[in-house]
Order: sequence, then structure tokens, then C-alpha cells
Amino acid sequence: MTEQPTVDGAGPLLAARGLSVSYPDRSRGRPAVTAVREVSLGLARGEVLGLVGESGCGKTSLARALVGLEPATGEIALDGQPLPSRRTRDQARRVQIVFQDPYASLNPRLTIRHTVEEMLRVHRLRPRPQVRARATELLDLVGLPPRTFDSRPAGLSGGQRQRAAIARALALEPDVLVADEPTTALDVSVQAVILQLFAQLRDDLGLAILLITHNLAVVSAMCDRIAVMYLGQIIEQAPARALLAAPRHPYTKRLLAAVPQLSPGAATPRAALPGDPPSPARIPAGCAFHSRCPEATAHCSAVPPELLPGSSEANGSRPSAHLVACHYAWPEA
Amino acid sequence: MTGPPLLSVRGLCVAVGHGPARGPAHGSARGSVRGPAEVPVVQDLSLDLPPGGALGLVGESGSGKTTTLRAILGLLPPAARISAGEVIFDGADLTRAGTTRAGARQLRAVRGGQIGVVWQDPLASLDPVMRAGDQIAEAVRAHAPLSRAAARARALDLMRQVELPDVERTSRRYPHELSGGQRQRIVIASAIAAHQRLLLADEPTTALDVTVQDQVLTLLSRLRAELGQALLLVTHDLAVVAQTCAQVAVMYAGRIVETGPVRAVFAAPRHHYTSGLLRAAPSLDKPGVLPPGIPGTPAVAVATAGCAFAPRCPSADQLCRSVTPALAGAGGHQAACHHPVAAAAGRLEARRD
Amino acid sequence: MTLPVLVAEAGPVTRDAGRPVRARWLQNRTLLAGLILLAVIAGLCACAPLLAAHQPDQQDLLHVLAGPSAAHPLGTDDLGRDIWARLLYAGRIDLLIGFAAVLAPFILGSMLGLIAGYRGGWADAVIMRVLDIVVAFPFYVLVIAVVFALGAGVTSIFIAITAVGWVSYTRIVRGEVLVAKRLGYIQAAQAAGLGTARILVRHLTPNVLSQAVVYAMSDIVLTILAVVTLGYLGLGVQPPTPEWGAMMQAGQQYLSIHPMLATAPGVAVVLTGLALSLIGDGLAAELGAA
Repeated sequence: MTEQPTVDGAGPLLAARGLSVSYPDRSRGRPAVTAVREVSLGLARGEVLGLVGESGCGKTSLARALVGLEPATGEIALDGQPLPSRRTRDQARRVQIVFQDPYASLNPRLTIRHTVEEMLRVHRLRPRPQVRARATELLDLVGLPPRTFDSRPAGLSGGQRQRAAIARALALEPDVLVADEPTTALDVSVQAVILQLFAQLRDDLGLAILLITHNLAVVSAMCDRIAVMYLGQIIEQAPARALLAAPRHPYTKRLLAAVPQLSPGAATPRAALPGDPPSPARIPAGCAFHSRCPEATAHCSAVPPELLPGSSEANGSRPSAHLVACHYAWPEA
Repeated sequence: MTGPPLLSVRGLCVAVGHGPARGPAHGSARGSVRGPAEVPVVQDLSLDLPPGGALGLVGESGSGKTTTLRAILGLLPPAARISAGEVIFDGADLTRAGTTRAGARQLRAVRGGQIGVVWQDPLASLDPVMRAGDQIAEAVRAHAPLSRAAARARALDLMRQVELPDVERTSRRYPHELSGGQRQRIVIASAIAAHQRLLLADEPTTALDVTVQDQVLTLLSRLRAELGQALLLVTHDLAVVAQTCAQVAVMYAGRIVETGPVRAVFAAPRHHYTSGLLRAAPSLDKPGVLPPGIPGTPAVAVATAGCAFAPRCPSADQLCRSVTPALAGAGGHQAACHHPVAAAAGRLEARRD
Repeated sequence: MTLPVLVAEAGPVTRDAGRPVRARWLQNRTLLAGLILLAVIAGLCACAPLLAAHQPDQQDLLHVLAGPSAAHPLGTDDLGRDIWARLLYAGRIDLLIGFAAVLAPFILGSMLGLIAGYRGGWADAVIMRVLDIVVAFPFYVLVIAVVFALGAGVTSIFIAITAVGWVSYTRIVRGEVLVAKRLGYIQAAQAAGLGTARILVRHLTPNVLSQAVVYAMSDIVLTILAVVTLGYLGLGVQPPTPEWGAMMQAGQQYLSIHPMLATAPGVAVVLTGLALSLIGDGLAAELGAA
């Protein structure tokens, strides 16, 4: 199992090894659906890792497993300490999540101030007299205007609610923030503001962020590293610029080509990927992508490829940070 | 423009009242709140769509774009009504058609028969207890006197046309057994079944994965070219419009603030909102660059005079706040702005980011 | 992939979304009408000693079955008792039992629903199977059977209605919990390491009870009807305590010569039911929209 390369060479803050998540299918004794298959990844302090993929790739299940909402096999370690599925309150505090749907993310009966204060109180992060002030500080940090502090979620817009949800997550002073499609339900202009907030949190607080989305443009704007998932596995992982400039996996290439472009002159020949993203209930043998891959060979349908770095890269002694799971990714190999 | 437009909307105004819209879903008036005046959700909207043309109606939520689409179809929710303006399709005035019996019949014939619709959520658009093939056949028979067998054959043909694999088996499936992309293709098949001349699409690919979206958009473009169908595409995604449409109209707070050929508008936007919107979208071409947002919150249903975007516009002045700008400009590229972004400055703004 | 719902960034278009609850509710005509009607009925019954010139069980055998007069606004019954007085005093009993007898099933049923919905597994299975058994019997059959077994009287009515009536609340609350526990804020609370008790009490309960409350309003109507029915069957509140059902039963035989005897309590039941229905509808609109 290759060690996950990190931004600064130090051990990752959050490391997952061989993580698998499966859902038992009780009806008619069908086999379990494996949403995440032996995934390993690392996230360094102050890094934004983008996790992209289409429906059925398992990115949401992976996110939930990292946060402890979903039981998983394999290991998760935070700062070297193992993080089990059932966590203590303090363990849970350190990895927090922001969800996609801003409407459902907040308790409709509580004002957002109370929502944030509750977190502070339950985890005893501040002595009682300071709770209110700290909540104000947090709501301010995410850019919410003071007049909204004592409103219930119904009185807030989508972007404001999402910010409140982020404030709630931040209240716990987590080391890692997992954001599951945080801007998908928001308008583009609001998305821009939320992304800037994430960048600010990364820069000012050194927060490590796992940004999960299907929107490649968002990932390209925000992320230091990008990991692409397909049918429960990471099939390519690299620093953002490298992956966007020179993707190696056929799926990544098609994914990038499929993103509609704004600039005129988008009359590039579209090599559309045929078929639909397959269901994790029926994973093809060998390479999971071979059934849709235009470059697949007989070898691909028999042997699943491993996630490996390229052998010859410009930086010589250091192992390449660009990992691909494809038999034919590195022509020189 | 050669010949009269296929679809012409003139000065459309849609107002929404507060009453029944808040009540129980079955629309009873029980428990309704005593609502005061109506709120204008769409104001003074005009657009023309030539036969075979493609127009993208772009806006964020609250801009009124979906309401406009529903108004064209005569499918506004009970609380909303067309308070002014007209919708003319192929020479016939559809606006007040719903009020008379003959008019309602005509409207039904047009809707579906001449105008096909593709909504955002294909699962909600399809009858869950009816097989896919049967739904298309039903659409075929609703507008053409064919026998059951002939309709089924035509349905299979249509399924091939929308590039569905293994049409025989797929036609016997129920919607929940199909993927999102396949369902949307079924809906598209129904929308072209009667040789409809106009296709209205409301965020048709927003719910789909990006590779499937790509397939569906390519399909739509191909079908349009083959069938000469006109397309009115409502979306929030500017890139989707860039890929599929020739014309674009940008909506803000219920009004069209800019319209024109897609290339011209996107390369050199004249309205500050359009320019802000273009800059706010992250792009694969600019990795690591965080796009700027537009300060403030979007205005919805503004009833007062003055430009609705003024509170958020860097170039707003007293004139902007007091006088509602009208669409003006040359060469088909118009913007409703007292101080449009100057061509050179617009490009400079884009470059600075 | 979940459908991305584009959220109105400009905030809710409905102006009242952030306003204080009371102001909104007072504008709801249905709710207001129901509350006023109920207040009137309850007020009249509560002030029975002030409004009724006679005691409800005060017999006047010289003036039986008399028509309305100055002394007796609605006339007298077969034992010369003032119908108006009996109506008001009976109202107290019926309303009290109606409301109180809904409280226990509401609390018991909601708690079971919360546990069954949130915990799932064994608890859910056991609770739902017991529920299935209770539901298999028609409501009245079971209630009458229990009252009959325990002997007629107010306590038996309470026990019977509680033992039979909890099922609806459990089903409603369980359904709401099953949906709510997948929502973001519950998951976020779990992810933040909040304990089950806290999540149930602080986060789930306030958000899942609204449907149960709406149902409770209609349940009060049904409960009052049940009390009335039991009284009609002689199984309910025992004489000489006045009770609308018993009054109707007694007045039945005199329907041709002295209709007021049975009609007055009947009208009272209808009006009370109407008031509670209006409140239920009004609440449904408010809580449904909230």
C-alpha cells in the first residue's frame, strides 16, 4: 500500500487506509452493496482536497464514514491516533461535516445563535459566561450580519443558512472539515462567496478541508489536490494543476471533457462517454471502468489496476504525487 | 430574422398573491393567510424565438425564469396570474386561452402537440406506474390518430432517436428502473413525439451527472438540427447556454436585463449583472482562481421604480435608483442599463481577474 | 445523485416567515374562528354556576317536560331538571374528559413513536407488532370492551381510551421521525457527538410533534364523541352527573313531544366538534406551512 504523499512531506493530518463501506441489502438476500472499496487517502493540515465523482461513486459514503456517521471497515487516523467508527465526543468533535441541503441542515426551531451555542455548551468549549460571546464571534467569522443571529433558519437565505451550518461546524474547533456538495444547491454568485469563505478558513485557521462535489470547475478553483472516484475507488489523484492539465485516467479525461465550457470556441470535438454511471450493486470485474472505456483491452476486464504513481517524473527522487489506477496510464512504464 | 417568430412574448407581467400559495397542497382556501397586495414576479418581459432558433433564458433563483416558462404554457400555480402582456405562439394568442372552453381546448392541443416540455426532474415528470414505452406511446396518440400498435412502433422509433440502448427491453421498464439520463431521454422522446415545433426545457440537465448532461445536451442539439425544432432553455448554468443556444436572455428580478447572441453577450457583457455572473462562475481554464461573488443578495419581485440591480452595482447612481432602464442597444445585443459596461472596460474587468 | 434544489438566495418571498408566531397565527381565519368558538363554549360551561339559575340535579316534579320559559331558558327534562343548567354542567364534564383523555395517549403514543422511529431494530419491531394487534380491533369495540370489563365510570374511560388511542400517535410520530432522522441537522448533531437523549429531546421532538398535535385536535373531537357514545350506552359517566350523551339517550324517547331534551346536547356536541375541527384545520395550515 503506497504511502499517501502530502503537501509538505509531513505525515497527513487525516489518513484513511483500506476504508470500505457497504450497505447490507436485506431484501431477498441480495449481496451487500459496497459503496466504498478499500480507499486510502490522506489530508494535510491547511490543505483542500477535492473529491469528485458522479452518482454511485461512493463519495458521500466516504465522507460519512470519515465523519463517523457510517460504520466502515479499515482504518482512519487523525494525527496518528486511530479514529473508530463509534467515537467519543472529543473524537467526533475533531472531524466535522457540512451538508448539501441548506434547508435541512439546521434545526428549524432554534435560532442560529442557539444552534451554535448548543455546540459550545455540550462540548464545554467555553465557560458558561463566554458562550454567547464566542457564538457571536463565530457567526461573525462566517460573514453573517448581526441582525440574522437571532433569526430562525426560515428567515435566512440559502447562502446564509449554509454559512450558519459552517459556523456550527467551526464551533467545535475541528481539525478537519468535510464539505459534502456545500454549494451545489446555491446560486453561482453565492457559491463564489462560500468558496471564498472556505479559502479564508484554510488560510486563517489552517483548517484541512475535504471538498466533495461533482462540479469540476469548483474543484479547479479551490483545491490543492484532486482525487477522482469511480465505483467506490479512487482512480486518479494528483495535485490540482497536474490533474487538470494532464489527466491520465480515461475516465478523468472524459469527465473533464464533458464539462460545458463558457468560452466560445467550445466547438471542441466531444468524445462523449457512452452509457450511464453504473450502479455500485453490479461492479464489473477487473477494472471497474472497463465496460465504458474506449481504450479497454482484455487485460482490463480481468485484472483490476492498482493506484500507482508514475515511475518517471521530473522531480526525480521524490515519489510522484500523481497516482492513477489504470494499466495504460503511464506509456513509459 | 426571416419570417415571423414562432414564439413571441410581449410585455409579459406575472403577479403572485400571498393567499392560497401558503395553504395546504390541495389548494383549499382553508387556513389561508389574509394576504395583501400581489407581488410582481415577472415584469415587462419580451422575447422572440424564430422557428428553429435556440434561446437560453438565464438567471439565478428568484429571477422569474421558471415562472416565465410556466406562464407561456399557461401552467401557473393558482396564486399566480398573468397581469399584463401576451404570449403568441405561431400567430395564436395563448395568454387568455385558459379562460374559455374553446380556448382551453386549443391550449391543450398546443401544449404537448406543438410545444414539448422537459422539466428538471425526470422522475417527477413520468408516471411511476406506467412503463416507459407506454408513456411515449400515450404522448404520440394524444396528438395523432394512430392505432395502439402504430403508436408503440413510433414510440420505439423515438426511443432509438434519443439514443436509448436496447429499446425493446427499455420500453417495458418502469421509470424507477431506469437511470436519470435514461428517464430524461424518455421525457425528451415524448417532447418530440408529435413533431412539436418548440421545445421548452427547464433546467433539463441540472439533476444529471456531468457526463450524462453532456450526452443529453448533445442529443438536444442534434435533434434540433434534425427536426428543425426551436428551443427555449431555462437554466442557471451559463456554460450550458453557451453550448446549446444561439441567443441568450439574462433575467434579474423578473426582468430581462440583457439579451443578444450568446457569443457577443458572453465575450463582452454590457450589463453589470451579466458581467458579475460571468466572473462568478469558476472555470476549468482558471485553476486556483477563486471567482469573486456579487455583493449583496439578489432582488426578487421589485415593485418600485429604478434598476433592481442598483443596490449591488458598482456603477449605480441616482439615475439608476430612480428610473427603470429599458432594453437598448444595437445589433441585437441589448442591455437594460443606464451605464452599460463599456466594451473595452468590460474586457479589462475580465482580464483583471 | 440527490436533486440539487436551487435555493432562493434572496430569502423567503413570503413576508411572514420570520415574524413572531403569534402574529401569524392570529391572521389565520380558520384557526381564529375555531378558537373563538371553543372559547365561547368553554367559557359558558366554566361559568355554569353564574349562568344557570338552577342546580343541574335539582328536580322539580311539578314542572316536568316544560317548554322554554323565563325560569328555564331551554325547558325542563323528564324529572323537572333545568336543561340549560344540565347542558352547561355536562359541558364541563365532556370537555374536561375530552381534553384530558387525549393527553395520555398523546404522550404515551408520541414517546413510543420516537423510540420506534429513532432506534429502529428490536424496539421498533416490538412496538409495531403490538400496534398491529391493537389496530386490528375496531376502536369502539375495544373501548367498550375495556370499559365493560373495568366497570363503567370516568376512570375506566380514561384507561380504555389511553389503551386504544395511543396507536395513531405512534404511527404519526414514527413516520415523522423516520424522515427527520435523515435530515442534515440531526446528522450534524450525531456527527458532533451529541447523545441520543439530547438529540431526541432537543432536536427531534419539537420538530416531529406538529403533526401529532394537529391530529390531537381531531382526536379530542373523537374522544368527546366516544365519551358521549359511552354515555349513550350507559357505560360512561354515571347519573346523576349530567353528560351530553346521557342526556341525548334520555331525551330520545321524548323526541316527538319535547325535542329540546335531545337536541340541545346534540347541538352542543356539533358546535364543539366544529370548533375543534376548525382549530385542527387552522393548525394544520400553520404547522404544515411552517
